[in-house]
Amino acid sequence: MQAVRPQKRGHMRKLDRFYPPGYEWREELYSVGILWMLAFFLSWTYLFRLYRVTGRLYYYQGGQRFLYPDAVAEPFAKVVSMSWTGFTAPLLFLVLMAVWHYFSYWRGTKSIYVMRRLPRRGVVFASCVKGPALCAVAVVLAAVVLYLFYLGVYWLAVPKECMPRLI
Amino acid sequence: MLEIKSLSKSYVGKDALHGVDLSLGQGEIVGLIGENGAGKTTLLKCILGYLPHRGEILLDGKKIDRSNIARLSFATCEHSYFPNLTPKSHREFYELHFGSFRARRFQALMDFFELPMHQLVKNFSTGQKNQFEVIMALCQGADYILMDEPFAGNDVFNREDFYKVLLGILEPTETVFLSTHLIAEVENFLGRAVLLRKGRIVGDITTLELEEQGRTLMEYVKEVYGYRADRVQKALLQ
Repeated sequence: MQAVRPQKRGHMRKLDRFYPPGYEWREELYSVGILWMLAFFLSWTYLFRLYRVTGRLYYYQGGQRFLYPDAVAEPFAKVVSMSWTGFTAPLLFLVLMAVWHYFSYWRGTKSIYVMRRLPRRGVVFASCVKGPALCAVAVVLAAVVLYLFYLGVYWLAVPKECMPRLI
Repeated sequence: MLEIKSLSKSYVGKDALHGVDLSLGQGEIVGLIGENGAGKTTLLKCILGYLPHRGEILLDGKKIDRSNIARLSFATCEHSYFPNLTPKSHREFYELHFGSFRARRFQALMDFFELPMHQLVKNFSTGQKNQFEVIMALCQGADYILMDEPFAGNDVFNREDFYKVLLGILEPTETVFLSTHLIAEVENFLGRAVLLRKGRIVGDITTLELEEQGRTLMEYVKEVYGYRADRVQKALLQ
């Protein structure tokens, strides 16, 4: 009985063209997704640091909370700084995947022999790099959206009078 | 015309090809015969530009580059298909990248050899994989079809079918350059035989010349190689 490859949905098939022919990119995307989620959870350390930073702005007296006079919060960039190191993991992974894509042309068969006979220049390079580059853009965009969200949290958490001066 | 001039190739500590001079004309079916390690695969890969080499390789007077590389195709016992694609997907890929892909020939050969169009090629049997490898080389639309022992692992009936099919479908402008050990089988299929030994061409003869001399290809090869039929017997007696 012939094994029939299940038909992918139309929008999923479109992703095939960003990878080497026949490459199983789903596993790669799942891995990037997992790494991004781990980086996301790691970025929550920002929330703990923000809690400490805002906590240092107040003192308690008679069960009530008061702002220290002339209290200034640490700048957002400083509070958030180390929270982004986790996002280098999916980006580094994608660089490695681009290299792995090239070596995939030697796995199982030597399909590189076909690729090196293609008349159009750059097809091999594009097939190795397009998918990871697209993923990297998505990773960075998602990180930027998160960054903006955390900035919004900072603005909400830090009293206006305690905002650090830009100059 | 595919011209090879003073082709040499060295690996670390070993010369694989020495000053090979060879011309392949349009429409020829040429066998490349040699012992293991003679340099057959190296010669084919140098022609295709897969290996750096010294010397010159010209296709109709021009160096082989992106503008004319599609005029060469390659079927290898190492296999060069995409294992995770179906034949249907292979056809789509080839049609996208090779403007002269022969879709009708592809369909006819797939039907003739009863290969499943929608099954991943990695799930084919060894014989089916070999057949598919050769089919893609034949259907690329190339003028020069290079084959490196493409029938390793196929049964004799399979191979016989393929020789007959090849003779039937090849156009007068298509040239086949076939590296093989199966001398007795390909004798009736080849128009010319080139013998390679230790990186040098030691023989080049057409089947017409063999006929005129009243010799078989196997006899010619044995003579050129200096094969002594009694050497085994002598060794056993000693």
